[in-house]
Amino acid sequence: MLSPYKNALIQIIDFLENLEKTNCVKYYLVGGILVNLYSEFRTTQDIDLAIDFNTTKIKINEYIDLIRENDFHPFQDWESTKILAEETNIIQFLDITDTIRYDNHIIIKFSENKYKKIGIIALNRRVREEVFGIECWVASKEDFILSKLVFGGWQDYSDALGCWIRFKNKLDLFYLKKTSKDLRIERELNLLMSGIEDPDEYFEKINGY
Amino acid sequence: MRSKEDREYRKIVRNFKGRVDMMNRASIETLEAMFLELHEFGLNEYIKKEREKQPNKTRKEIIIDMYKLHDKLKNSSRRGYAESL
Repeated sequence: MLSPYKNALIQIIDFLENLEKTNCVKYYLVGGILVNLYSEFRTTQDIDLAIDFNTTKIKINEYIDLIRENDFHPFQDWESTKILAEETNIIQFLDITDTIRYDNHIIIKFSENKYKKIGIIALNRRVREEVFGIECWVASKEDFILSKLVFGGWQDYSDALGCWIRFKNKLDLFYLKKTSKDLRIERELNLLMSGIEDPDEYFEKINGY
Repeated sequence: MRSKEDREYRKIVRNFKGRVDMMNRASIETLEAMFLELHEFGLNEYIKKEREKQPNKTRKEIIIDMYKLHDKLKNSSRRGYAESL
């Protein structure tokens, strides 16, 4: 028997791959699910993904109807899901077993807000990878680092630092520096690249303790 | 606020760089198998303990509350409220 997490991943990837083929709705996985691939070992409870409705005729409410029709379950109820999606640009729902939550971030095409901007930036450089043996679209290593620096919590910095230490010789430094300026996180990136080796030290320095 | 000694001790015990180095030596299949096993174990234990504490709660209510707690912990150290990618 497969684990609940892997089952939930298969369910969402099957759905999204099919949606991309039939309706050009692009997606990628992001966040904690990528840490084993890109950073240091840890587990996570949810599955974060970003989805782009800018090049499709499908509206957010229609997408939520499709989720419902494809055996996903509401976090609370579908009406609240729709209201919250409009308000927050995040669609939250559960897998068929009511166990794993998907945090489905809606990509905003034009925004000056760094939290929104990173979504479209990462979409343009998404890559194909195998996650838990399932081939799917994921954020690139560089965009994984940048999105973690944008969100800026202790765990985010720890994940970004792990990716930097692990892959610093393979990363596109020019892209990282250029995009960090655009996202106004140069200070965070410079500190990451400074040779720091511990997340506590990083977090304390960035927050000026 | 932690003392300097505490921070140093935490740093040595965590050995972050060593753990990251280990990631490059372990196969992704092993890491993912560990992830799935730990995730399932943690989830089942959490549900079991919550059922003992609050027997009237449904499984779904337990799961919803677990995610609410998860969000609270995840966002507690983030500087701004990150409402969307």
